[in-house]
Amino acid sequence: MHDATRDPWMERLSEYLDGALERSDRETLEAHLKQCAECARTLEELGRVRARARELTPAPVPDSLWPRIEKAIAESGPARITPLESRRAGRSFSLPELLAACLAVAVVSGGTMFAVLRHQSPAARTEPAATLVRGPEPARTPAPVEAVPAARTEDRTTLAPQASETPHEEAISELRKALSRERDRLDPTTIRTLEANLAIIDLAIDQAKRALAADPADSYVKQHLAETMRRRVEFLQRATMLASTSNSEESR
Amino acid sequence: MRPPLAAAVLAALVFLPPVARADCPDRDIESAVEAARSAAAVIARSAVKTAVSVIETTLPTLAAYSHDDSDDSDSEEGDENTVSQPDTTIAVRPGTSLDIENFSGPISVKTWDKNELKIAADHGVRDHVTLERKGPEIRLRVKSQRWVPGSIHYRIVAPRWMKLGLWGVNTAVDVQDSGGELHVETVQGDITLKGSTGFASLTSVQGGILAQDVRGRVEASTVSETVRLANVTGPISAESVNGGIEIEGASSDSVDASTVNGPVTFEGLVSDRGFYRFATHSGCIDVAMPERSNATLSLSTFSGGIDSSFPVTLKKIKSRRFETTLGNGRARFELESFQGTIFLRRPGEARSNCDSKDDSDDDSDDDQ
Repeated sequence: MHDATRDPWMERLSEYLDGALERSDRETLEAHLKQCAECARTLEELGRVRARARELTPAPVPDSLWPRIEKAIAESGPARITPLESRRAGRSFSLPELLAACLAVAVVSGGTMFAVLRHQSPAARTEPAATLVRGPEPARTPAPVEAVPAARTEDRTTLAPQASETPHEEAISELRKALSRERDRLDPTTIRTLEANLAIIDLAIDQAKRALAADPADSYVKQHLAETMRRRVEFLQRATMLASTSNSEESR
Repeated sequence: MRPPLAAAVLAALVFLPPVARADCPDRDIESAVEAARSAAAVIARSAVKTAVSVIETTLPTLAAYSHDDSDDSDSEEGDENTVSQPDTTIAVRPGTSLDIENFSGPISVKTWDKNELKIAADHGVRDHVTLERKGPEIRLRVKSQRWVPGSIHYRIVAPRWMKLGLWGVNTAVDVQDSGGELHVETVQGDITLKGSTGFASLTSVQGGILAQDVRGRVEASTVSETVRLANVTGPISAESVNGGIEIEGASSDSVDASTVNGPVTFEGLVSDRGFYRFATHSGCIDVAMPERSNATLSLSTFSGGIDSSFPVTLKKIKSRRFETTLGNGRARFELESFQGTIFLRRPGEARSNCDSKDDSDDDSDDDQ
């Protein structure tokens, strides 16, 4: 799943482009860029994607989208997540960021669908708990740190097709559909495991979104949300690849 | 009666000499079955040898080829329908890689200093192992008369330098003392790597991962289990979704460990040039580091807390980001837990109750 040449600075290039790095980090990264051709190339590509994204206009919502959303809502049932502390509502990402994310996801997911992997799915073992969230941990803060408000969320989330709220999530929805088409080729236990873990990621995203809605300026939550969404994309890619591999194995 | 057993009985009736059949009175079913088993085993063993000889003729580039009927001490007893393929040892040139795909059954790899690859496999009578050579790659595959291949237990001894690709569905993988590049991927089944050097990529869905006494870059990823890395020297990347990340005895200047639902623990040396990132959504982060380290720590949490066993002064950078500097602050730490506590402690001090999910669950229960 990982690139062998993965570089910790790679994930901070976006912050660098945003001008969000601290001065010391910025200087260190700039020194690193002189030595790391891969990072320099990625930075250049990121810059190009952003420039392209700024030129794009929002895509019209397809007429077929709402029936799917209605169906998804009907299937998923009522959400059982207690909201985090609410303060003020606000947007989470700028349009260029969303479009850039959409472009990236579309490119990556397109490639994924044609990937040929080696595995097939099998028999069973333990499945993880489908529940994720616990109550907040007790505050143990002897260090002079400002008290952080506790979040209280409930125990369960259901896995169902998600309504597409943004271009990014629409791309995610496409990945989900691709997985849904292939899921019968996977062992039921593996399906349950994947779904349970996808639900865990979805719940984390949901909580991060609520936190961001409460405090749109929070850079940590914003970054955490982006990271968790990236993880969801990777997870769906991986699950889809597992299923497609199963397909290729069966056809041998 | 299971189909293989029925087939074995049928085979016995057909192939056993009349004298043998005469020795099996109809009422003595157990004796008949036992005789059938023996006959089936003989037939199967003969088939395996035939398969191997076919392979031999299709691999003219191999420098040497030999059979060794000696059993490894760690071989396991198979069931009555399992046969042990005679050990196959082939000479290999440096640069050769080994690629194994296994649907079910463990893969065990040890290494030696010889330029020889020793292959042993225990498998069912309706499966056989094929050995293919494609360029510098040797591939072991299963050919099965069944729709789903049976369980194959591979016992491999490979040259230490050999690059290994081990892929399995319901497969536990155990690799010891490898020195070449290593790629392991399973759906179900734990991955264990001990005493190795070189790049290692370890990936599973439902299997836990353990890498111990390893030198070289380690990339470990699982979905629903824990990643444990002990005494790893080299860059580390570890990831899970519903499992913890445990790193101890690390000597690395690049560590990236993250999960969604589980704790992340780290204990190891801190390099002045290092970049260390630990992140979780729902779990604690426990970092043990020398108090006199030269590091700048960025700590972020939405609804958790920060707890240090040694004095630190936290400077608030943004609403939920804090920073503290130790020594000259050269190394960079990023510690992020959305709703868990971040613990800092000295090496050797008792670990926080960050280790298990149960502790947090208890906390949760108490809190309600």
